[in-house]
Amino acid sequence: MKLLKTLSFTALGAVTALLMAASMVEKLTGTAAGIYGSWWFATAWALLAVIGICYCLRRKLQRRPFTLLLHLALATILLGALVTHIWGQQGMLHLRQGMPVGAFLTDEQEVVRLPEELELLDFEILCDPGTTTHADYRSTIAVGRTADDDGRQMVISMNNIGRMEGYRFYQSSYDSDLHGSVLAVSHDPWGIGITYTGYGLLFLSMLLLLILPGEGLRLTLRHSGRGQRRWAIALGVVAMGIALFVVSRIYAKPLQPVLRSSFLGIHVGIIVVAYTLLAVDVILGIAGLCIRREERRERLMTLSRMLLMPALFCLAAGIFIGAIWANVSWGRYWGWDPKEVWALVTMLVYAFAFHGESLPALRRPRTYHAFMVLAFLTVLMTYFGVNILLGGLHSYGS
Amino acid sequence: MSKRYINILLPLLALTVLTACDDETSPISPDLDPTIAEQYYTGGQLGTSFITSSKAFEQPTPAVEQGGLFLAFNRGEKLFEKPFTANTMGGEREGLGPLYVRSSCLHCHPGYGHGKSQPDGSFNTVDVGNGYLLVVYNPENDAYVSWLAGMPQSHAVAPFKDPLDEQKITLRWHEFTDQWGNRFPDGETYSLRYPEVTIPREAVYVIRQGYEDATTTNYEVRLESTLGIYGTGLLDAIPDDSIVAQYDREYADGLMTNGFNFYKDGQYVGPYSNARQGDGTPYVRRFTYALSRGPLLDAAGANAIWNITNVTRSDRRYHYLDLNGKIYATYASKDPEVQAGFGDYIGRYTTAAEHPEFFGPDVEQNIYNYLTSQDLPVEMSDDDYADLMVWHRGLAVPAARRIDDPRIQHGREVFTQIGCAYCHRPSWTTGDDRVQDPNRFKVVDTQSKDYGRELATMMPRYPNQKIWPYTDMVQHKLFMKNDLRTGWCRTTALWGRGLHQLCTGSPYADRLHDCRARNVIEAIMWHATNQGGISDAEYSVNRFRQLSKEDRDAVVEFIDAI
Repeated sequence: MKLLKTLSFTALGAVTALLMAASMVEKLTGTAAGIYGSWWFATAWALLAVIGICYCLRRKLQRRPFTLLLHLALATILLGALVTHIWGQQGMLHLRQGMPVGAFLTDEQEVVRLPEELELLDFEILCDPGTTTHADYRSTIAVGRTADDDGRQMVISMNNIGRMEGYRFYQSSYDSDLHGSVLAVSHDPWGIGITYTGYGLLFLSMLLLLILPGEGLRLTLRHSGRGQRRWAIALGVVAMGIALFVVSRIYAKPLQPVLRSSFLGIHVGIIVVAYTLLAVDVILGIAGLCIRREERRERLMTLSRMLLMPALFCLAAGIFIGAIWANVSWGRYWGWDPKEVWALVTMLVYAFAFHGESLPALRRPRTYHAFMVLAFLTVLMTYFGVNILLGGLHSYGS
Repeated sequence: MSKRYINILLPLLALTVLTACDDETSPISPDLDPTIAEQYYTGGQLGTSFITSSKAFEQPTPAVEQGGLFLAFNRGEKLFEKPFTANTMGGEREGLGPLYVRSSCLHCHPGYGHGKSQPDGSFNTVDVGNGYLLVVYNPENDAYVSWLAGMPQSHAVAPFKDPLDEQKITLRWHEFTDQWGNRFPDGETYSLRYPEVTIPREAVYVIRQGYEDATTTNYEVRLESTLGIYGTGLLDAIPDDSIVAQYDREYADGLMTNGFNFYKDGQYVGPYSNARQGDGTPYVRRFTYALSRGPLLDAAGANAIWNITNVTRSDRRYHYLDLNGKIYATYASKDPEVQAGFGDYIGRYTTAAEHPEFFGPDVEQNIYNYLTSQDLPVEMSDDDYADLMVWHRGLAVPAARRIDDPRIQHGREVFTQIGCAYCHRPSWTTGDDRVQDPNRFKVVDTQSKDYGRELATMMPRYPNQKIWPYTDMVQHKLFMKNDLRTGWCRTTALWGRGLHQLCTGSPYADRLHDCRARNVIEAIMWHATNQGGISDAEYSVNRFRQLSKEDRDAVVEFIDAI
C-alpha cells in the first residue's frame, strides 16, 4: 500500500516534471525532438494510469464512487489518446480547382485512399461586413463526382468540419491565388469516441462532486463557518465578473477566423474563472503564511480549499472544452501546444493539493499555503510565460 | 454554491458570445448623412453588391436579379471561368485555336479584377493571374507591328506553332528614382519599380521562318494589365453626351497642358464605329487604356471572348492571327511540320463536304485557306454569347468600405482639395441606358428561343443611377519611364481597387497599367515622374508631397475604401 502510494505520486510528479522539461526541449529544438510522439513518453503516461488506478482500487475508492469515476475518466482519456496514437491517421490534403483527388498523405508520409474522390469547386475568403478583415475561409467541395453524377456538396470552413465515412476534413490553409485549398484530414473514429467518453465522464463526475450532498465540495462546506461560505460566494462572483470582463475584451476587436467560435468565450471564460480563484488562493496563502495565529491560518486554509475544487474543476473543464474545440477547428483534440502542456502541468500540480488524505503534509496549513503559493507559478507560466517564452498556437496577441 | 456558479456563468458567457457574433448588421446606419450614405452605393442602387469576400468582384447586380437574368448570368459566368478546349476536341466550350492568347478568361482576370504583377523571369501565361498583354509596336509611329496580333497570340493548337515562344520572353523589374529622390519633404521614403519586357527576335515564329520588314529589327514591347470587369455595365450606361461634356469642361478649363486625344478645338473627334459587323454609327469611346472601344457590347470583353481564344461566333466566323491577316498564314502554310500534321487536324475540325477548300490537293494552299477563311463553323452559340454578355454587363461594383469613417471622409476632402478628383471624377449619373451595340448583334440561330432578338434588348439596365467610379473617362498623359504605347491613358476607375489583394491573393496592390505600383503611394508618385514631358497630374502630385503624413495616409485610406 505504502509502496503503491509512493509509486503513484512519484509517477504523477515525474510525468509533470517531464511535461515541463519537454515543452522547453521542444522549444529549443524547434519541435524536432519528437518527445510527445515517442514510445517512452506514451509508456510514462500508461504507467501513471495503471499505477494510479491500482492505487485507487487498493484504497477502496469505490466507497466514494464519484471520486473513483473521476479517476477512471482520466484513465479513459489516456486510453483514448493511446488509441488515437496507434490507430488514428492524420494528414494533409491539397485540393486545386478542377483537379479531383482520391487520396491523402499522412504525417507519416503514407498514402491513404479515400472512399470517394474530392474536387474543389470553390474557395472563398469571407470578410466582416464592409471591411477586408478576414472572417472565415470556406471551401466548397464535390464528393464522388463522376462524368454523369455531380455527387454531393461538402462545405468546409473554420470550425466547421467536413465528414465522409469516418474521415474528417478541416479548413487548414489555402493557395495564394485562391484557387486551391489545404485541408487537414483525420481518421480516428475510435480514438475520438473513447476520448470524448472520457471527457463526458470527467464532466459528469466533476459536476456531481460539486453539487451532491456528502460529496467533495459539500464535504468541505460542512467543515466551514458561515462567514467563510459568504466570503467564498463573494469571491466566486468576483471571479466570474473578471472572466466576463476578459471575454468582453477579447471580442472588442476583430478576431482571426479560427477564433470565431462560441467555444472561445466558454473556453477562455471558464479558465479565467479558474485562474482568478487560484489567484485568490495565493493571496490567502500569503496571508496564511504571514499571520501567526494557527487557527486563523487553518480557517484561511478551509476557505482556500472551498475555492480550490471549483477552480481546479473549472480549469479541467476549460482544458477539455478547449480540446473539443481544437478537434472541431484543427482536426485533433490534443496537439501538445505549449499552452496545452502548461495548462495540463497546472492541473496536475494542483491535483496534489487534493490528495491531502494520501499526503498528510498537505493537511498542515503552513505547508498547504506554501504549496498553493508555489503552485501558482505554474498558472503564471501558463498565462504569461508560455506566450513570452514558448510561443505556439495560443500566442494570438503577440 | 457551485451549482449557482455554473448556472450563472454559462448563460452569461453564452450571452456574451451571442451578442459578439451578431454579424447581420448592415454597414450603413439609417442615421447616416445621405450625402455620405450614397457614397456606399458605388454602382448606384441597381449596380452595387454589399458582399465583402474574396468574391466581391464576382457578384451580380440587383438589376440582374430584378430583370430575371440570374440563370443567364450564371451560365455566362461559367463561360468566363472555365477553360476552353481545342477546336478539334469537341464537347463543351470547344473552339480554342488554332492560335490563342490564354485558354480561359480567368487567366487574365484573377478574381474578375485587374491582373497581378508577375515576378522577374520568363513570361508565364499558363498559370491563372498573369493578366499582362504584350504590346509590341513600332516606336517610330506607335503603331502595332503587323506580324503579331494587337493582343499577340502566343499559343497554338498542334500542328500549328506558337507565334511567340514565351520561354524566350523575359520580364525584369528595375528600380527607379524620381526627381525627389523617392522622398517626401518630411523625410518619409518610398520606392518605385517598373517592368521591362524583352522579346528577342528568335522568340517570334514568323521571323524564325524568314519574315522580315522594317519593324522586325525595330520594335518596342510594353505590358498592359487587364482592367477589372465589374462595373463596366455601369460605365456603359453613362450617356455619350455626358462624356463629351466632360471633355468640353476640361478643354475650357485649360488645365490639361498635354491636350486631349480624340478631341480637337472644342470638338469630339475620332469616335468609335464598327462597319464590319455593324452599320458604322459613331459612338463616344469609353473602354480600354487606349480608348480603343466604344459601347460595352462591342468593347474589350465582346471582342476578347473571340480574339483571345479564337472561338468563332455567328458574327465573327474568322480567326484573328495577326494584324496583317496574312503573315502567319503564309509562313505556317509553308512550314513542313505544320503541313505534315494538317491533314489529321483538319479532319477532326470539319469535313471536305462542308469546306472542300481545306481538303484540296495542295496542302500549303489548304492551310492558307483555312487560316484566312471568313466562313468557319460557328463555335460559340448565340445563346452562349448572349449569356456571357448578360454576365459581363451584370457584374456589380463592390460597395465602398467604411466610407463614413471620419478619417476616410477627411481623406476624401484632401483628395478633392489637391485636385485628384479633377481627373478621378467621383460620380456620374447614368442616362436612360438604352443599351447601344455597335455590332448590331442579333440572335441568328434558328434553334434559339431568342431567335431574331437583338442582343442589346437582352441586357440588364442601369437607368438614372448615381455611380462613383472616380474616372473622368478621358485620357491623359503621365510621362512614366516605359510608358504605355502612345502615352495616352484613360483615367482608371478607382472603384473596388482596394479589394484587389483580397480578391486575387496578390502580394501587391498592383496599381497602374502594368501593375508597377505595389501600393497606393507608389501609384500616386508614378503620376508625376515627368519622363520626357510634364504630367497632367504634376500639380496634384506636388500638393500631395507637401501634405502631412497623416493627410497622405488619409488619402490612401480613402482610395482603398472606394
